Amino acid sequence: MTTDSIDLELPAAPEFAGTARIFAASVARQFGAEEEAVADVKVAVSEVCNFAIDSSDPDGGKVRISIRPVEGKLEFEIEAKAESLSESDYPEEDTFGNLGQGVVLGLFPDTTFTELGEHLVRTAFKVDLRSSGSSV
Amino acid sequence: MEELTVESAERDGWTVLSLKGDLDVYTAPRLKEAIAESVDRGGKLVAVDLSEVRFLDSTGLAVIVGGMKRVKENDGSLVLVAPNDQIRRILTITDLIKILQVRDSIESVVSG
Repeated sequence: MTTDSIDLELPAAPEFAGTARIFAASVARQFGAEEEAVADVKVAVSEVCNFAIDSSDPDGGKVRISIRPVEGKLEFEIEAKAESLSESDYPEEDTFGNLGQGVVLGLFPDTTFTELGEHLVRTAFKVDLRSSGSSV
Repeated sequence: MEELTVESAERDGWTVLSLKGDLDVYTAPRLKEAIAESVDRGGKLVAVDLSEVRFLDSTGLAVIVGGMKRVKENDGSLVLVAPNDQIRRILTITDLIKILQVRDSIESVVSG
């Protein structure tokens, strides 16, 4: 099984959130993730795209998704500019960044958010793979 | 990915918004607009049929919560109908299941 990452970079724009989900779901299925896990991956990836879209980057910004198998799991690393990743007790309309972060952590409790500087954040989580998953 | 269609119909005093497709950052404005139009027409009872929604994230939730608030300001109610298991899971994770009304079918809504 390859240990190389499978990567996609796309604009942080609303019309590309679906593309990001399709990519992540397709790779997850290829590596043998269960359908429930694939559904969770789609939500998590979409939420990170939302963080980036919510960010007021004058250049529009990019979302970079990197996926690779690591010790029986599939590791997702998503880099994007995200100006507000703080905790909130209550969701308010149009401030979905906080609610979205809560959704990601609810689906993948071990998710890490690492600031890389200049509001660039790496969101990372892992998905379990079936032991009989296919290889690339 | 499937884009979102929103169909509006009146049924026994309820405005039923039937959604089909993905409810995300790109498509959520359509639901927001549909709820706003219903409120502007004087609608107090809004049922959002999610039975054919395959995907929903926090942007969809934000629009739903915002719509609920707007309807409530007019002394009305907003009800979610037939969300799938994944959507119910997200509603539970976010605790929004505690503040949003959820029903299993349109019939259970309109029949009171």
